[in-house]
Amino acid sequence: MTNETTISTGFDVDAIRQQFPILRQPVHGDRPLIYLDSAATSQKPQVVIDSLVDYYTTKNANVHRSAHYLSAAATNVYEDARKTVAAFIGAESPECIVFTKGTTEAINLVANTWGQANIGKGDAIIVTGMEHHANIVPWQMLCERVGAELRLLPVENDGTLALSFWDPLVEDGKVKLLAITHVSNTLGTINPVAALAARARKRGIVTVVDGAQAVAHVDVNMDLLGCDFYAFGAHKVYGPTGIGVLYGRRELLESMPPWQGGGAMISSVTWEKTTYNDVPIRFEAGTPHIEGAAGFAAALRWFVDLDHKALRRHEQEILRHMVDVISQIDGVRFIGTAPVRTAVVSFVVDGIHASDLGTLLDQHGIAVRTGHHCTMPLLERFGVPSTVRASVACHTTHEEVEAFGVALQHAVRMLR
Amino acid sequence: MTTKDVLNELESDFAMLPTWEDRYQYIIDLGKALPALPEDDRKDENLVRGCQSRVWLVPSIVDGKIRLRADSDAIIVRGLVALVLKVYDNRTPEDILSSPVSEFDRLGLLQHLSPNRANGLASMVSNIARVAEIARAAEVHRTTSVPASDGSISTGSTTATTTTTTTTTTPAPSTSSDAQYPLPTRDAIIDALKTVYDPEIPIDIYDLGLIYEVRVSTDGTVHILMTLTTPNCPSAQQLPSEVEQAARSVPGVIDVTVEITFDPPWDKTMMSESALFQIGLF
Ligand SMILES: Cc1ncc(COP(=O)(O)O)c(C=O)c1O
Repeated sequence: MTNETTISTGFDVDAIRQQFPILRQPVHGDRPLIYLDSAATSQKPQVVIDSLVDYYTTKNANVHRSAHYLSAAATNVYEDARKTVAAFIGAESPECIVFTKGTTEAINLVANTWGQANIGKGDAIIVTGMEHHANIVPWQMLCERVGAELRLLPVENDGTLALSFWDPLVEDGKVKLLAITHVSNTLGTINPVAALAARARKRGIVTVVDGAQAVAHVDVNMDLLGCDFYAFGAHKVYGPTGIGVLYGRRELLESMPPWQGGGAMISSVTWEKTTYNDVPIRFEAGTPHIEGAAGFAAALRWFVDLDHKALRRHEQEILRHMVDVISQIDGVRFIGTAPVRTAVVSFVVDGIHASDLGTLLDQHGIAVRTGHHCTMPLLERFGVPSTVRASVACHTTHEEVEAFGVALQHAVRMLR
Repeated sequence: MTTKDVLNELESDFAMLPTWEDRYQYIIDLGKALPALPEDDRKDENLVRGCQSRVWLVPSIVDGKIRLRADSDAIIVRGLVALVLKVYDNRTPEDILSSPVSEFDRLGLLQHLSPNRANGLASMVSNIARVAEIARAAEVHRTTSVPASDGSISTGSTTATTTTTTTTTTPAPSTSSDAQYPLPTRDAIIDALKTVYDPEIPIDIYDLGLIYEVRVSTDGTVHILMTLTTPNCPSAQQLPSEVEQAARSVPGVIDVTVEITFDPPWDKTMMSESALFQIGLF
């Protein structure tokens, strides 16, 4: 069965694996690494690693400031990266792309600029029940500051959104913003973001999408999604940590006041008055993560070059295989069984703490995540304090899934 | 048995467990065998900070020894907890303080724990060490001292030295003090205790409910049974000595013993009404 599925997808996973040097490195002395934690952060292909070295070897300087050769080279790297990101998500223009530290900072940026300026006392914000803390806490903080109300779009037992709650939630006309994750990092659910953004748009509700888990697994196109803001980080699409983007519709970005003040974001500063730079630089105070941008662009260029149709099919086969091997365990319960899923499989085993499984799997060289995955309200809704989460990546093989299944059986035997 | 004896035994046990499976199975089995803490003790005040899974630790001081009960919701951590109890439960403060967490290195165990786990283990042991420090401090304060001839109160640092001074400088201390002062009243002691404040809460320790018992014996000895808001509070170490000094300042007090207990552990319901009022809970 294993061989059949590998062949049927026509996806050359071995060739992909060759490009990830870290996958050749054993852990705990002599155990081959089986990395099933890409939802936390992805591993990096050689071209991305090389791009960082190349940047520092041949182009390093500060951007947007000096007239010299290297500064121009660095500025080109940085602004080319912006173009690459814009093309990757089908944004109307590179000016709609603001570089941030990551998803978290991108969402905080919206909350502190558009949110602060447009949401006031008596207004309401909808967040879904499956959000990462990064898409809950900034809105809670905003609500507290301005006296707005946080409303919950709940989650069904299978891990899909309870869409029947939408109308009653927006009926009174107070909702100004919808914060929704594209793909749940705990359940793997792919949410109907385009449909909800369209419904929101009709009522003048601005949609902020957390794309952190989506970009590596589903096609992301701003035109098709029709959202107002989209946030994601490089490190979950095979790029470096410490850099991400906020996409914003241009007229919204232009209407927004700056957030952090400092160098680059200004156009002139006097003691009396400072005028601000144009978007997107207005939101990029200080020296940016230039080599991060270089690595980000290298990652996206590498990623779009893969055969995406085959990749999607491969990842779906792997997920199905994972569900198969996990189902062999007595007393297992999957958290998240939505019909349309990607990226992760989350589960708990009766009478066994997730962290115990994680510890023993680690001894087998298998990296999974255990815990609440920064979605405590979601896990509370499912009545579990933590889950084991196995992620799929482009380099995951069926052999690895088999080994994971064997190790899981072994761990459960030790713990029971 | 001392901490060192147990560590030696464990070291030879572990030496006979060649593979990681054996070592983990050993720990898991210890975890399975550890008696569960009652639900009442599995409360947030007893949580050890710095652990990824939840660990509850309930220390007490009985007859000068540290008694420990503990639990965790994850079985491997439970096994580590059991290991820690094997080493440190029912030992003297001195013994505990002589075996820091680094002694566990000998078991070849720490390198197999995730940094999170290793930190959790370390913070559990450091909580135990803190309780041992408190117990040792309380032990030192349990001293005999007598009024000097000028009527002022001397506080000796240990029983031995105080006794020596006494015999040489004051020939008949007890009778002279009897003559000078009537027996101190319990209320007078309590008034003195109300001048002592918890380092973290602006409420005196009596209103806070930290004092469980004040006993005044006919010989002028005062026995105080008290607790601390949390065994995990480092600044609480000085409280027993402040309590002892406050009680000593009451005329007629010959000797003070301060005993620390964490049974029952302190919680907010033990605050007096005036305390609750001050922190806005009443
Ligand atoms: C769905 C989701 N949102 C937000 C984040 C936060 O991303 P970052 O920590 O890179 O800002 C993550 C990653 O942990 C995530 O999975």
